[in-house]
Amino acid sequence: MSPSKPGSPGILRSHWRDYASVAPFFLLFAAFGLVPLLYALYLSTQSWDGIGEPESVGLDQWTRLFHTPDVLTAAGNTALIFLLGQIPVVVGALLAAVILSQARLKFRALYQTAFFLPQVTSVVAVTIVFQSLFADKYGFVNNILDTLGLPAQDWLTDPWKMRAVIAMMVIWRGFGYFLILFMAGISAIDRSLGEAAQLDGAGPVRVFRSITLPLLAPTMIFVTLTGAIAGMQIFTEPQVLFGGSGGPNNGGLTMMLLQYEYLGGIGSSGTVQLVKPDLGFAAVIGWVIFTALVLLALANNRLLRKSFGGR
Amino acid sequence: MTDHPRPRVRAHLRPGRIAGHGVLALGVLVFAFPFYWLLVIATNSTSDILAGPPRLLPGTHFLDNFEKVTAGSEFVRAFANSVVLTAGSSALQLLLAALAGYVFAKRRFPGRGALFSALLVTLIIPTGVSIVPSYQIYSGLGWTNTFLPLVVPNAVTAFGVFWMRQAAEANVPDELVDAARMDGAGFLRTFWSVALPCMRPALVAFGIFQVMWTWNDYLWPLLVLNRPENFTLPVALQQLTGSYGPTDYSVVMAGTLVATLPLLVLFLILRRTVLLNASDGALKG
Repeated sequence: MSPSKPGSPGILRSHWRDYASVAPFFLLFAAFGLVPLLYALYLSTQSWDGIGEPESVGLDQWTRLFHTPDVLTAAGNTALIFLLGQIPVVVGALLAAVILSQARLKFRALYQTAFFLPQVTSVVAVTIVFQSLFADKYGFVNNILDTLGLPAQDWLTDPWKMRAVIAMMVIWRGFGYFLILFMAGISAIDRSLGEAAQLDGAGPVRVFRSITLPLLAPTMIFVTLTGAIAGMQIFTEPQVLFGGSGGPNNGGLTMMLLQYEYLGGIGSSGTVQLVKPDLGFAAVIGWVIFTALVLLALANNRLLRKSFGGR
Repeated sequence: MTDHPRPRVRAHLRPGRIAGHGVLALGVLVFAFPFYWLLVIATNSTSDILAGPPRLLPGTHFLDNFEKVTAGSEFVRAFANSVVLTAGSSALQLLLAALAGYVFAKRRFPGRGALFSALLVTLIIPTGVSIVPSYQIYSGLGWTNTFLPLVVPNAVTAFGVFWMRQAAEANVPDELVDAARMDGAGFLRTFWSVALPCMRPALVAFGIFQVMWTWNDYLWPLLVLNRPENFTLPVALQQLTGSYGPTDYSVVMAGTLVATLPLLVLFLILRRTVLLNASDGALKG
């Protein structure tokens, strides 16, 4: 359009509106994305409780990762909660998507709406509701168990049950998203493939196993990796469920929650101090989470590009 | 999808269909139950619930419960804060993302390709997970106890620009843009009166998701808002659970119900748009 060469002052004059329109993103990303990252690298060489003078400690904070038992606990919990939630939600949403994708099914929109509804709720609200459902005394679930003559369960004190309750919240909120994604994946599969197989005498299970499932592989990879990206950042559920801590025996301690604990109660009041605040160590934990997220996103990108042919 | 003739083989699936409805209906019941439970607890009084036998039907004490919520905390203020923050932040995001998306899709300028590639690269870089430095920066700028840390860093996101560029590419005809220029419309005028109306469906979809995310955002409001008069709803709710102890459910649930209702209603009104665009929204990751 403009005859001016790159680098000549004429470009800025004739295109300044274009540059000004796209500039806010880059400026904000630099200021609030890149600068904090680099600053975190510097902080990771310091020991600082946030009040006194920071003290330079070299790489001590990084080696501390390996001899702080809480780190392993948090990383393990984060992974376990992800798996406990991801596997049932993938299987369940896939099953529901296959049923919902049948031609001329009645009430399709109604089902979709009902399953998607939890997605609209805030995690804090969901956690409060689940806290009451699974409470030891007067909780709905234990009441039911009691009525059935079964022993009440310590849902919010036993580490495995705590993780299961958190996973159930993740499932409840995420199911609708997964369902929609699987339905989109199924509708992209050529219907005539399944019909041809059926004419050849293949039953519905066979059609599902040999046609639907393999062709849904890209969708599966996508939901798993985006699920892992969300799972890596899980924070609100345990934080609200256990009042700012990882709960009994740190059974609900996640990586984000651990980082939060090392801030020493920055932010909302009423948090008990669980560890000696150290912003340097918190920065290291932040970098670990950051690195894991970048790796997951890179894997996601690469696999998506492979399966969708550079779309 | 349903137009072309079905072979008759499908007939043997009939019993399967009924079983399918059974599975789905059971699923819907399970998924709807937490909402029902929220309603039951929020409308019964705590003493009735604790006196047991377990209450399983909605009661008539909602207003009493909600009165306790508003008496014991700045809940109404938090509600207003959430409305203002969500509306303001979402409007800003839509406007800036649409402008940048339109420019990337429809304007030609040196460096356009390189800049857009750079923007795509930033999609995989998570911001805000390293809490400490971001917090230090906000407090250094004097932004704690204001909405600025919640609005400014996210005023325009790579995800939003990407989504809006796709929308502009697909829905804004070049002829229309050219015609506007011939008629003497300037840059902003073309964007506002020609491009934006064409991008409306995508704007609505992106807007709903943005409203959902902002309304429910918890981590950063928790970190930067320390005064009750600044709280957003999620933070106010979390405080309610703390101050009433874990067993005064009715009061907490009454607040939770009120905080949840607006988005439920919004979703039910706009559910077609949300469901159609959910797979785009999920790309955010």
